[in-house]
Amino acid sequence: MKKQILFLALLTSLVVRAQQPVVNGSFQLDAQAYVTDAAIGITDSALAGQRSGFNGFGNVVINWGDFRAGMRYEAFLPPLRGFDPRLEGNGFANVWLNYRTDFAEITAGNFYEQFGSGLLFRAYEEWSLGFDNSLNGLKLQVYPTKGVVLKGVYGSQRYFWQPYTRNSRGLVRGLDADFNLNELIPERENAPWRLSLGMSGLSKYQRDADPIYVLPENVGGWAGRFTAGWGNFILAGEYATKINDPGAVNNFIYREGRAALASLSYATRGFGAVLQLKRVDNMGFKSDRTQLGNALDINFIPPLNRIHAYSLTGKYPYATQVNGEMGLQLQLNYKIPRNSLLGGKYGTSVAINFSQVNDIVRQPVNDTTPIGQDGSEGYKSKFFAVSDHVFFRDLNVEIDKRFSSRLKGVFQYMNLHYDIATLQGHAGEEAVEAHIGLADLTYRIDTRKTIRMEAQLLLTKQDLGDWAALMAEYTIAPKWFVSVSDQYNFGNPDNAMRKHFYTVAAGTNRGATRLALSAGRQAEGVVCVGGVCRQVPASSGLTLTFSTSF
Amino acid sequence: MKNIAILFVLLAAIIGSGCDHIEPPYKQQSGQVGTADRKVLLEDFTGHTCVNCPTAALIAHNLKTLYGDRLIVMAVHAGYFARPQSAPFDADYRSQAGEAWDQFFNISANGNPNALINRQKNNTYWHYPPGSWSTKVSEAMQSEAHAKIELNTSYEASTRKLGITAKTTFLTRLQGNFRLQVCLVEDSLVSAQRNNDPNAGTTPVISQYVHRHVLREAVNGIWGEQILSNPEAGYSATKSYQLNLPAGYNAQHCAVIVFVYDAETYEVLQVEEKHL
Repeated sequence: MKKQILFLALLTSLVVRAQQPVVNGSFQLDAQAYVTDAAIGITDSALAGQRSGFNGFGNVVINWGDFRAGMRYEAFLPPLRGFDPRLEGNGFANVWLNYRTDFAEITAGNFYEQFGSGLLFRAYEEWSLGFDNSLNGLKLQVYPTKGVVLKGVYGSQRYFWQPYTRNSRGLVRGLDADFNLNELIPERENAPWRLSLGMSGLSKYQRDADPIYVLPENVGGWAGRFTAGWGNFILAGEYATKINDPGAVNNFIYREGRAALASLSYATRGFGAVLQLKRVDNMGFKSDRTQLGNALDINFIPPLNRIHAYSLTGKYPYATQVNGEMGLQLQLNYKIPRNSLLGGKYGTSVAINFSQVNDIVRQPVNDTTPIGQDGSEGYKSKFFAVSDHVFFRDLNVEIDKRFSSRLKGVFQYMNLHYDIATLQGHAGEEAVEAHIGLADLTYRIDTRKTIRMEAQLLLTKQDLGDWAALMAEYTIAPKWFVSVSDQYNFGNPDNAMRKHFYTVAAGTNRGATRLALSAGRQAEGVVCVGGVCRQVPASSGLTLTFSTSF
Repeated sequence: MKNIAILFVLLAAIIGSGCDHIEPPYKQQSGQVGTADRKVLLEDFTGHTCVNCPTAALIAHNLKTLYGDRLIVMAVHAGYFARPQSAPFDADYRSQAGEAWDQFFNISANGNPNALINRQKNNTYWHYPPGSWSTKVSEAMQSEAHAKIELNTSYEASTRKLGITAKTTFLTRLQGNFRLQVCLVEDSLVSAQRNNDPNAGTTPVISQYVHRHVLREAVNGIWGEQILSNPEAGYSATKSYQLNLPAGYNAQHCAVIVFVYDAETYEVLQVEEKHL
């Protein structure tokens, strides 16, 4: 607490002395009151006495000339159901100071940072997942010349509310260099091509006190990347590798880790295309080798899948498989011109997206060691070999069309293959094959009043069977909205489980402030952001959300 | 360009120095040993529908192989994954004490498998994930033994009468209140177990899984009973129990686990196990 008081005093003195400090920040509060609802399996024992959940934060950043300082208070009292119970607690989770000159910038305290696309290192925070792997330490950024950025990070990662003590978890230290050749080489500033290169190295230290395994105390990794542009094309690639890093995630195998990403995109007026490829092999990287789940991740494997925003298209989201996956995504966007046969008066947008993720091929390292045996090399794997085992496939087509000045619609079809046994740990369950369709119509009644209706249908023979969802939302701009929705699991193979999950919500927006209240049921599911997921248990009750920023 | 070259060399040097390449064999031939009179209790919180639990049981088994009698493993079936379901998961290995401990130490809420190791608090949490068991057990083995337990059992097969006598002697002077917990465990219970690790057995279900060291019941209450306060070195307390071994328990597979713990911190000072 002393630290926080000192920090506040320092901040106050900065503000007092400052001529024109700029302060900004945000606050959010998510509170739920839970009730028992035997029909969907929420009994007293399932709630285990938890009648309420509360997640909240307040974040303030002060800019004062070359200085910046920020702090974030968080409270999870206790966390909402579905969030990691280790989050329970309150306090200043994030406190930092930053000083910047034209040549260099230093940050002390808790900070976020990313090298390249994050294959080797990404410290970030995702409120909706309760995820935060910020580093607590120091970060130095140097700008030696135009077009060059050097970064160094050193610290320990956040682990819920557990303070770092000697050997309680690992330390992370990393360096990154980024070169923008068009800026670095003066005569290339206006060249038709654009090229930037980057490289990074990172090492974690965690002591070995294990009586069984001989463990590496220092695990290093490196990554190289490039982005090249020519005309309407952009080609980018990144490759990362790390040395032997046995841990709970890979079942203590000593194989090196590798990950590669590549993307090619093309954009012109009315048309865009992106092709992305990735290969991940034993690339789970944590600052504590004993951890599973999302805690203490050092790196981040970007997902190559469309992020679906609707409730049923998002019902089976992809969870990144750090131990091995090969993925491909192709996204095509086309705007059919106005006043054409298909475009109509207002034009029509068509988006086609295909993604597929398969397992990698693993072969035994020798005749006597099973694949993945702990305390061995684990397996061998050919770089370009793709396994027949499909984790995930999503083909979706979306049409956005405006019919008149008052009516517009979004129509989507999605064809899904989802290996629920791997992606959600439902061992032995058959992969979900689903057809999902939706229509989302928005009708503007007058300049202030809008009504939006959503209808969705998910058809599958696996998992919980078919679902339908309906939603209607009435908005009186700019302040009020009210909505009713229902998800109905009409095709559940168990007749007794064919339940409705209805919700009524209302809220108000005042500038950057939003207050919403909803009541009803939430179906069990999985929430994923960027391939990082958390399970959401079914719940019933009242939810209050408040958020504001300034 | 020269600066950039220097930078590259620097980067390579730093990364190079931050790497420990390990050559085979990756496992040590002999484990570390601590003081001979220190025994360690590992309570593996598990359940038959927990897919990662067989891997954890394998880790516990490997540690047991390494430490022998000095590591005492107790499998506590509690929480969501231990609930009986439709066949073949209709076995019920839960116990009143196991459920109470699971709630109190907040284990299954953090997922299974997780363990208590000597009920030592890990800063703010009680539970340890399986990947950390060998390190934590090794540390616990090195810690000083403040007490010893002499455990004797008598069992009469015809009447199924079980007698337990535990004499706890403190080896150092300690502050606080100390409690004795007596548990009955049964080994080699065979029933189905979910599994997703091919190295631990068939996936997704091991139909004839051998459940080891299963906690059946706490003999002297969920939190045991108080034996001594602020003991001097050499103080001892003896407790005796008589009970009928419940029908259905296979006496040949049963054992008694006794441990003494600090009533305030819950930390286990010493543990002992004896087969009937």
